Amino acid sequence: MTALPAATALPLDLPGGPGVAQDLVGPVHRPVRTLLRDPLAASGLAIVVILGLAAVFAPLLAPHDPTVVDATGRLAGSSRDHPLGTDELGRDVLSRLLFGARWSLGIACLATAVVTVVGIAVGLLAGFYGGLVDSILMRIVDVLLAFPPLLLYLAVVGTLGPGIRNVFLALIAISWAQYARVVRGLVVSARRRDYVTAAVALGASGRRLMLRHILPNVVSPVVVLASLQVGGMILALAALGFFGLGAQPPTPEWGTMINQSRLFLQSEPTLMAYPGLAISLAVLGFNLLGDGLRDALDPRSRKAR
Amino acid sequence: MRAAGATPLLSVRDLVVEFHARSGVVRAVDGIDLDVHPGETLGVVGESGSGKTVSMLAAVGLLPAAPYCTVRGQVLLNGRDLLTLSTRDLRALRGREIGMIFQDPMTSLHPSFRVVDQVAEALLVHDSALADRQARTRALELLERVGVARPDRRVRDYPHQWSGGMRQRAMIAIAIANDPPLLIADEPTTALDVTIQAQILDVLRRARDELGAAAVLITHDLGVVAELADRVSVLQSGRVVESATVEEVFAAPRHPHTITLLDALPRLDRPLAERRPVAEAPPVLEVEDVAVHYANPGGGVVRAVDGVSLSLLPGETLGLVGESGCGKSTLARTIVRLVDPQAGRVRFGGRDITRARGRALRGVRRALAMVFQDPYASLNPRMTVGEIVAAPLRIAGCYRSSGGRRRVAELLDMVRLDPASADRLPSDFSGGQRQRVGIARALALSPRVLVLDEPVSSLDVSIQAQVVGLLDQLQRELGLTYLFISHDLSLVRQISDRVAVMYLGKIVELGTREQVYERPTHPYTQSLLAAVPSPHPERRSSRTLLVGEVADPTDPPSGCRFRTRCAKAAPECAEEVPALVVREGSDHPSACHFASTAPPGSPAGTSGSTPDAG
Repeated sequence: MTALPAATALPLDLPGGPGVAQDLVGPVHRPVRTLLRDPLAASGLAIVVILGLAAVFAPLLAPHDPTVVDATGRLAGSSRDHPLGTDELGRDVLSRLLFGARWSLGIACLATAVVTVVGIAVGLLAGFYGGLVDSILMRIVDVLLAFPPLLLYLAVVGTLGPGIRNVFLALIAISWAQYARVVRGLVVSARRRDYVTAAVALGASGRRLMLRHILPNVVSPVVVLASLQVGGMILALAALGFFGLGAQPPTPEWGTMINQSRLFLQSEPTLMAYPGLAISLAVLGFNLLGDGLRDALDPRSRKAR
Repeated sequence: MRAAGATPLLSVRDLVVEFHARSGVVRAVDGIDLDVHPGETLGVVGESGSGKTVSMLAAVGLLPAAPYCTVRGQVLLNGRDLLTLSTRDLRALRGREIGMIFQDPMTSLHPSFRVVDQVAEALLVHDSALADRQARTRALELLERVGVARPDRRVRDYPHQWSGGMRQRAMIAIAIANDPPLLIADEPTTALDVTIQAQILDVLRRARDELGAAAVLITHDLGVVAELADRVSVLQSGRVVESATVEEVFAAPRHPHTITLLDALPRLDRPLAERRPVAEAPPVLEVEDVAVHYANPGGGVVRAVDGVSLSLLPGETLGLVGESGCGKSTLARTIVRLVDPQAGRVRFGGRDITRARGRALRGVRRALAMVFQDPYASLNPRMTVGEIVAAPLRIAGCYRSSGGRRRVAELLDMVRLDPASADRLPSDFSGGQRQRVGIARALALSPRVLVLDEPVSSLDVSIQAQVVGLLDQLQRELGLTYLFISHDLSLVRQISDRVAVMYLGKIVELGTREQVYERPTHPYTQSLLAAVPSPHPERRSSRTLLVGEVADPTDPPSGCRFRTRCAKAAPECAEEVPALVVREGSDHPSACHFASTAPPGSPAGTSGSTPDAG
């Protein structure tokens, strides 16, 4: 009936949340506390958490099934039954927004997570081994970074055909390059540190050097980058949805919702405003959180305590 | 020189500096009184954290603003209280009435401005009427005055093109640009080699004398104080514990802390403890004709190590001495197989390990460990101290079999660290403690040989003494063999059985401690020894300084590589490479055509005035 995946299929991985911070080696409580003390970062975290909860508990919170069409109550205004009104097919807008959070946030976060892992892996290999490996990988990165990302997304989705799965693949196929570039730079400088040389002198294997000695020291900036990038992912997803290439109706994805509401912009502007607001709020939340994380994880701010 | 004038130029009264950290208030300076009279040099001495730098930064208003720290008391410069001045007045005064020289010449010059322009800027900020061209001309004069050779040829140079010593000269030029009556030098030579240190101290002394300026010399090194200061104030935990003339401090120190600092000072004139005789046995480590060349990014080939042979007998300490850039660290890295040599062999226990791989290499790594120079860079900041010490055990796959946490605790105990600190991060430890962690890591697999690459160079003198004492004790307990690399001759003298002196990739003199220190025959060794600050304030500056800096290793001088700085250089030195052999009238090998125990005559020109750095 609904096109929704099972709730567990889209783990709401919130990069930079306390869950991720815990994975960092080192004292956990300190960055988290720094983060919570910063009012902007704390509000960013609050927005992200609230949106995340809304997505997870959408089936409980939503007053209606987001895909049920009601031909008699089309384009209705706000009412007790439909707090945000109904759309052109009489579907409850609030419910669609709540379920839409699952798609928009879920896909964006999942894509960011995959991209982060791929980018770290590529960046580690390129930065650690250098030479030919580095040259080849970085030239691929150069190519990917040479075009506007949206153009490349369109090219990939245009080739694979529209649909949420292909959009997901396009996001991953293109976005890892940025992470790889950043990680490579960090690895190259970490590689030269004395403690890595010390580990080499002890006979540590390449894998051990990369995972144990270099990776933990490059994770923080990547976590920051990722949390800032979730916003970009949400926007890209919405843009592709707006072009009609992303989630196909009746799936309640925010960008798709904006696309469908554009015909009623004159008569029912709120129909477009609500998903637009949701997108802005989510992007704002992730960006505030990302900025806060950057400060909280900055080793200099930690040293200065 | 010393003015016993009634009114001091700078008078610090009851200065208190408090930092407001999250964890509470830290009182870094706790009621300091200092006086500097016109034309006088005050040495402010103390260990890291004693408040010596903070007190001076506070005096000139360079500490962060109010919520982070508070400064109380009085700092009178010519009767004006600096602590009550407005930011604007303070700005007008900095540079014009107080010249500051900072510790690290690598970071205190702006990397993307030309050096000359930075010197000129010091003039321009205080004289808006000055034309750029005039300022630049004055800047060139200033650079010449601090001993930069032919500054007009270096107009386009950026700081990274200058060596540390040259940059520190530029810093001094900036500080003296406006003829300030007071110079404040914060550890001006700590980051430099002894030879360059001697040159810089000389430049400082002359700059001070020409200006007739008073100076505050902040340092942890009493040897430097003995060279330059008239009076000394010793700081401990933010308080002045002793204040006296420099002669009194060295002749009859009163406060126990001063005595501790003096005792810790490695010096060449102190009788040495007899070292245990090293048993006759085949050498445990042999280096034969090793050469390491690598491509210089700027073109050319750097001959970092160029035909070096050494051997280490079991249980002995071989000291390897030389200036920065002489190739001693590269040699160390070659021995522990971090760098592959282009030529030559390294033998360990009789087996050639130069090309060892796989299992053989792992065996070498167990028996041959290295301690790194910088205790801040050589410990992974994301690993606990316990993990760092356990790392070699895990890599060798014997963490469990060796006792796991018990072994880690045992190792920490061996280096006199609390085993309970295994769960803490390196950032919780001081430099000396971190270096102990580095030593514990090196000891984890019970190696036979430790290669110590400047293990205490970045530590305070008093901490150096403790770490060297620890190394000495460990050697006796565990029967270790050390290759001890350092640029500090007096330190090497304390710990070594034999000493090798290295210059530009070659060993120039090799002998027992007594031979090298009491009967040096190579002019380079003799100059190095002369450059060590002498803890005798009553007989200073009667020595010959080594001119210039180490020559360009991509294009070493022909023949004897030292000839460009040598007072004995003769035409044949440019033609024939002197071999490292025992020469007539000497009892140990020396690579000089004119090896003799007679000290070299005065080098041409006034010392330090014409460095012909390549």
